[in-house]
Amino acid sequence: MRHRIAHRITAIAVPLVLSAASLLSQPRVTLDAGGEVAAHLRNTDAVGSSYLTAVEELSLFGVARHMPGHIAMEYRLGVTGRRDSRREYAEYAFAQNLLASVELTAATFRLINREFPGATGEFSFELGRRRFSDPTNLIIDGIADGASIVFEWPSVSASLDVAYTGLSSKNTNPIVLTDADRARLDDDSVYLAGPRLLSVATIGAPAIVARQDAEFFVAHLRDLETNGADGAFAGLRVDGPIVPHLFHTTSIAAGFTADDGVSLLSSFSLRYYLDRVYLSRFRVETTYASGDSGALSGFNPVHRVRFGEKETGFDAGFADRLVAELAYSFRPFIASNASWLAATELGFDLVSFFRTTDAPAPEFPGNPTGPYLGTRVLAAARLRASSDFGLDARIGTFLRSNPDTDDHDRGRGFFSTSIFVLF
Amino acid sequence: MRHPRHGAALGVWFLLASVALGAQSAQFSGDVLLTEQLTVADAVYLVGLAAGIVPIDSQFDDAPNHLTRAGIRVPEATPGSPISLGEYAFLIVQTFDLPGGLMYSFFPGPRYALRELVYLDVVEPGAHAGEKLTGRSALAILASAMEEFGQ
Repeated sequence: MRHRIAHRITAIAVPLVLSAASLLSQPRVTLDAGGEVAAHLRNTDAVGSSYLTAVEELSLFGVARHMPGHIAMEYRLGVTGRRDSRREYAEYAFAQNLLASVELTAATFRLINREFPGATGEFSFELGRRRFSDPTNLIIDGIADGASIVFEWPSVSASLDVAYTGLSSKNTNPIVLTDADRARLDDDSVYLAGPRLLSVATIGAPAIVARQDAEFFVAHLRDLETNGADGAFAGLRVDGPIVPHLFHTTSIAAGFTADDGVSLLSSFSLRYYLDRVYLSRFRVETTYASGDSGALSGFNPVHRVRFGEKETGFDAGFADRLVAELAYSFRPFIASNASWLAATELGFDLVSFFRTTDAPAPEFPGNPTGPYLGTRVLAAARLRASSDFGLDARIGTFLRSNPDTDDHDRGRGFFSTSIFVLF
Repeated sequence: MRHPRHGAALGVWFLLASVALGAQSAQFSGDVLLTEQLTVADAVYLVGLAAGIVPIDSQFDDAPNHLTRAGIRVPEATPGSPISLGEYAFLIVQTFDLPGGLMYSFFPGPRYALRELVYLDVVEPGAHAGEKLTGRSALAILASAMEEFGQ
């Protein structure tokens, strides 16, 4: 058996190495390898809820994208503030288990050929650990180990990602779909995530019409631990400018499972860039995920990065939700000659949750009875001392739909700070 | 998606190119604008010209020598091969004498040069050092750098 596995590995590895070696001899090929280590802090307070975790995004509210950090390391130390309105006291705690929360979140080897296939094509092959996601970033968006192949031409692109989740930390971007997942999260002796195979294939057409980029995708989730927990997804994302400075991203997707049938997801966001007013960025976004109603079943994504525990302090669910978000960020000192001051960014974010069916939503504070479930408000600041070093601070609260209910413990505010160093 | 400010920056470049650098250089920048993949030689000449290191009346092929004499490391690839975004960023950071971050001071090179230009809002976030560079993007980045750093 061992010989057979070794033989297979050799059969795959040798051609890969030889191909890479032959490609490397060409001057148009570049190699890039690097990684990122991140510490994910999780603070557990007296009532057992956690709402301080490290966030890998180096931008406020997703308006700006991740820095092109190749060898990057983030260490985030935080304090968590808590205020109980009944007893009028404040409690602060340092995040714990720093070492246990450290994870290698990116370590990739990337090979790029900028003149293949054909003079206008570009081919890239990436192997290693990184964040894998689908084009919507709403279904699959987590750390895994795998490989990607991308072909790009001026008018079309195609990609295939295959990744395995069982070697990454269970805490970074947990997949919580089965009872086994829940048991694993509760078991402190387990470090690794559940074994799953993720595949995402895309076909994209840049500037297909009116400068709109379109990308069609199919994704598959294979659960290697629990039978019958596989899922498949298909969808389309279109994004591009509407008028000068105003951009949209529109996504629709369907989920398919053997037991539950078909579910739907849609998302629409508008982003407005007002550079002349302190590099202002506005974003309005709505996301709809079907619930169990009629012919549709609840849409459950593989990862829950958006509206998960990290963003609200509790599990706000995803299926049967209509979420409306308004975000604004700006750089108040953009005109400063000091780079670190000019890079300082402030932001505000407001997220309102609604349910789309009559199904109860007991996870929300305040025992909501109507469609409106509550709103999370947040203010954030980011100080960038240099391109390698910075400080984040966030303060926010969840406003319950029914403020009169006696559920103070889950409707409190939160405060966090973090320091990041990039390598 | 391109950064909206690049449109204005491109306008600044053409103004500078046509007024300050002369008709020959403006012709060159016009040609570069149409290039789908910028070469090492194009980039060296373009950046050197913009920074005043390469004289306007200099031969195109002499540009690397001018930059080398000024202590700037030019990409080692053959002049006709395509330049990556990271290599182009490294040229700009050296030419405009930008300090760079902590990692750049230890390991000056394309990777950390690009990070610095993203930090300084010259290049959009999300860019990758290995990306190929069109002539239009190269001009926009250069124009934005000239606008930011006053050369």
